[in-house]
Amino acid sequence: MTATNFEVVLTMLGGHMGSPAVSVERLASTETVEAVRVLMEYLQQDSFDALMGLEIGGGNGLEPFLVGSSKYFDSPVIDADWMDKFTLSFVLEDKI
Amino acid sequence: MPDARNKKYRIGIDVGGTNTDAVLLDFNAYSASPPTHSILAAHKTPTTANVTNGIQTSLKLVLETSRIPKDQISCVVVGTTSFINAVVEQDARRLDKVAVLRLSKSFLRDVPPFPYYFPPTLERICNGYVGYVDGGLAIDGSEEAALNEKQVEFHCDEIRRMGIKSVVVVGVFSPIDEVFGQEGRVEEIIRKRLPNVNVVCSHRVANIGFKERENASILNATILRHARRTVKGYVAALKALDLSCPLYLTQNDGTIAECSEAAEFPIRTFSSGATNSMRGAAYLRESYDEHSVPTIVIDIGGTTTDVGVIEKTGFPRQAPAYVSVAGVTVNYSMPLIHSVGLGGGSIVRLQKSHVTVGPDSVGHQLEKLSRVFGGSTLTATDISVASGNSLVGSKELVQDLPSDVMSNVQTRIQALLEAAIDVVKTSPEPLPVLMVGGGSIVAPLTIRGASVVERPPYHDVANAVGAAISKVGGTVDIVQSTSSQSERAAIGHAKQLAIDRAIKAGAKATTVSIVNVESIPLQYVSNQVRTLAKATGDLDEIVSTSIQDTSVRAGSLEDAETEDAETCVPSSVEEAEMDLGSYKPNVLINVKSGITEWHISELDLKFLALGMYVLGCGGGGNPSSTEVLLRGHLRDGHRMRVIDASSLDSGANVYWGG
Repeated sequence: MTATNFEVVLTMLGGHMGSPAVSVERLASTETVEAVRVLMEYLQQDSFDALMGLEIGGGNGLEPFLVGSSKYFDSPVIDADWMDKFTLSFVLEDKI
Repeated sequence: MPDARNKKYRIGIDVGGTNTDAVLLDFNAYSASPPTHSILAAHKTPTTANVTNGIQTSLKLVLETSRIPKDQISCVVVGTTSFINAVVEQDARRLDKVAVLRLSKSFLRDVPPFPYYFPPTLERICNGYVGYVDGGLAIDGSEEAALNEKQVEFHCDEIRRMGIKSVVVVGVFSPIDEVFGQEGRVEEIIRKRLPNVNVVCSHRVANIGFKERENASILNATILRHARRTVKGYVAALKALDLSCPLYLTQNDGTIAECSEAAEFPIRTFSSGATNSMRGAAYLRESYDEHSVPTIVIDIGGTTTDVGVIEKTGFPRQAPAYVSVAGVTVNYSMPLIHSVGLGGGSIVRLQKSHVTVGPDSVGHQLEKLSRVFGGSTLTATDISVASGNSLVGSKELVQDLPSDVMSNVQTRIQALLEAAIDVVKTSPEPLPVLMVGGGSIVAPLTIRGASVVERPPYHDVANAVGAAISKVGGTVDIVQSTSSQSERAAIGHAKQLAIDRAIKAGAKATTVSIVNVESIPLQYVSNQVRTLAKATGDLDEIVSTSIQDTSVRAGSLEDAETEDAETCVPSSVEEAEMDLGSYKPNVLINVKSGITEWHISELDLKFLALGMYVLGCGGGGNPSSTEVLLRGHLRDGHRMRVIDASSLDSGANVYWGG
């Protein structure tokens, strides 16, 4: 996987943190959307170019799609994440 | 009054979809060798539309054959698949509309109870009303919000206006609500304002896992009226024969429940058919020894084969995570069953280079369509008869089958069964295999992976035997604090509570033992541990309740036979099957920006959610409720898109997505 050459202005980093024992009872909602709205107000920005999720994994994985849905910010989601944990590689050994 | 010591006989009955089986068992000969010596009578009769008749007939037959006096029968134990079948068959005549009251002030509104979690027809039948009430708890047991009783009263009036007769009350974290009892208080209000309405409190039905607990409660509520009616029918059958012994129903875990309690929680009987079949098979094998090795049980019916495992405890291995009943996910403990499409009626097709057996089947039309009965469809039963392995129908009608066809089919069946038992085995050592079920005639007598293959006597009434040998149990599933007690003490407390519950349910104290104990710390929360324990024992005949009390309770409910049928024809195809091999994601070029974008579909969401759950290794939580939320967006016409990082200009402003 090659590194892409672009410069981005990293504005913020975060995600849902907590025990899945809570999220199995308190079901999904739009907290992330609200958080982005509040932060935009604070930073005095009224738009952004794209979204990138904290991690493509677990409960946080689908959040970018929620924020980026045309129901809210209608923003594309980048095919990558900040955690970079999914550069999977396999070493296959022949054993007879 | 006859001495309780004379009551050493039990009658076990299995009410199946097609047949009702009954056995009369001498319980004192429980550990007889061979165990079949304890069976004094066994009969199979067709299940009748009016349940009372079929049960009455089978009771009469076993009593007559065994010649045991009625006052020596200690109890009648019934196992039935009638309740789960009503849900699986989406039978509108037996299911009711349900109102759901959710207790939480700030959560839940974005993920409603019904769409997506229930197959469309089932949703149409069950979805009556949804109301939200301020309330709910946090994980440490404190209140998220105080219960708003005015809102409950408002919803009651709406429910009355709509004529709904079944209400589910489900609150966030209700299973750990020791202090505030929110669900119980809502129930009180409903009972006062709507006296003829059934109320199901979710904390009595299932444990932590909101959506799954809600689903289980809804299923319980929708089948409740039918369950009570049916149990009343069983009680009537016993009365008609002057049997005054108690009536029990078997539960998912192989223990019995007193009949009126079983009628309140029909969901606890959903998988008792499978459980009874396995426990009965294990009991019937020649070398019965409860503590030897796990045993694989293969139950071959007309269309499907169910494979399960009986552990050394004598109870079935439970499914490891959430289970799905009729397409609805519930967090219920059910036996692990691996099903394959192989049965007595499986259709055999001869291709050029190989043969296929099933998965489709002629089912219960075997005696009309199969070749040995004069029909023209080649089935697995035909092959079995032609090769001399069974004697049904007319062998002459299949004499023309070439021997290589027969051996190819038998090889194929053997391979299907070998693959099936491989799925349930957890180590390479061969295990004993028991075959039960009417379709077992099509199976070979050697299977790779099996140390021995046995088809025990009375295998065709294994379910009824399993019902008769059911034990009495007490289960505990509680979250305890370990801030002032050690984990070991908490586990000890759970075990003692389980034993106490088993004795309270009617077990003989000297026979009670712990069959399962587990302790699971709660992630990210300190000093809390979830302790599960199960204790079982033999029924103490002296303390079992008399049938008189139960019939009084059942008598206060609606009458047995009056039901009008507003049939809802189940749709034969719920959602079109997706051909995954030819699926192509929707990738388009944005005309304004020129950037290539992948437009996410519902199937993409499903794949993404599954993959994310796996990659998060559980610690990241389950994205499934977000998936449901997003599916709603797509169905409302919204879109979401993915782009490659290289599409961005330098200096692009990228926000965190979550």
